[in-house]
Amino acid sequence: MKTIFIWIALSGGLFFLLVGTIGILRFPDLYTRAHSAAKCDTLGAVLCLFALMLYNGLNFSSFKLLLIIVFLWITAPTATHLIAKAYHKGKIRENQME
Amino acid sequence: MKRDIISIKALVLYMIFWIILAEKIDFQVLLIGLLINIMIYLFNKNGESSCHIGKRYQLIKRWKLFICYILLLMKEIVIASIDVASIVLSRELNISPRIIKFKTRLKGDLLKTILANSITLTPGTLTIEVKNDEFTVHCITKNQITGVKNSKFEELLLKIEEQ
Amino acid sequence: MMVEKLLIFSSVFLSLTILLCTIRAIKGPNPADRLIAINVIGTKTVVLISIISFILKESYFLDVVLVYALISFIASIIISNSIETNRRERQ
Repeated sequence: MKTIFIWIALSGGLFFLLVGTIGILRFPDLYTRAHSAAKCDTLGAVLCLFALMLYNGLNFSSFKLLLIIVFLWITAPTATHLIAKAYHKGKIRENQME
Repeated sequence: MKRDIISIKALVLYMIFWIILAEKIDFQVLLIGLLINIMIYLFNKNGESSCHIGKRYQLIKRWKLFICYILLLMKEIVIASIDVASIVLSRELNISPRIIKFKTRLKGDLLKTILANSITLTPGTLTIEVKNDEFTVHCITKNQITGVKNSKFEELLLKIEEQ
Repeated sequence: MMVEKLLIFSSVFLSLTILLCTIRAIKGPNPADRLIAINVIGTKTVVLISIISFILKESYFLDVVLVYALISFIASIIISNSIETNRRERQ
């Protein structure tokens, strides 16, 4: 029973990570690439780590994995937003200098 | 007066983190953890974040709404990823990206940060800049714009903010 | 048994996706494109090391993963700050 949940969560996580990478390769502009990196990457990583938590049972290592999941959830979209903001401000300054 | 006494809440949080890292509950672990936590607390005492642990009472008092908010966020990110997957895997990309600005009615800094993070995690939108009251947001398709202007997140956060 | 085989397959699959992401890091015409690719590679490395720690059954790799996630976040903040303040002209 638990094995079926682990299979579903791990394959879902790997699928979303693959879609995120294809999105980075295919989109034409930086803002759209940041979309794919912020959303699909976070969800794929969280699902994979959640499957590892189920595989381990109730243990101290599961608490460490939970801590890593919370940290990735909060900081991965924030880092992508900072990169988009830096690009936006650089483009505004370049348009003003011409 | 309150700043001279060591804040208990910060020490409890550090101790929980230390026990998770050390993987067993023992006398030596607790003793060394206590010494290291006190040193870390004294090192960060004059900074911003260690004074504010007791002050974020808005979120802790209304914890039911906060849990509803977190569940809504989890549902939204699943829908968002499926949306991006359906755009990426289709045969030709039909996207029309645009940048919009809008004003918000929230006042606190922490709540504006949470709203900006949630806008990044909803399908089709990405926060670019937050500047006193004005959000700059980038959308992928044209019909996401109405979803941003009166979104469910802002209503929930306004309900949390009024006391 | 079956979960072990699935973990080994997923670690190989994850390394292939990291290789695909490096193409964007080499090709991207902006420094910001490369930075997004490096961020994604960092997140994937976190998942890869966690899976390997369960294959080899050693529990101390998770401490390495925690520190690596923190360092990758700080690196992304610092490099994006440097892109914002000194913007070089691209020909």
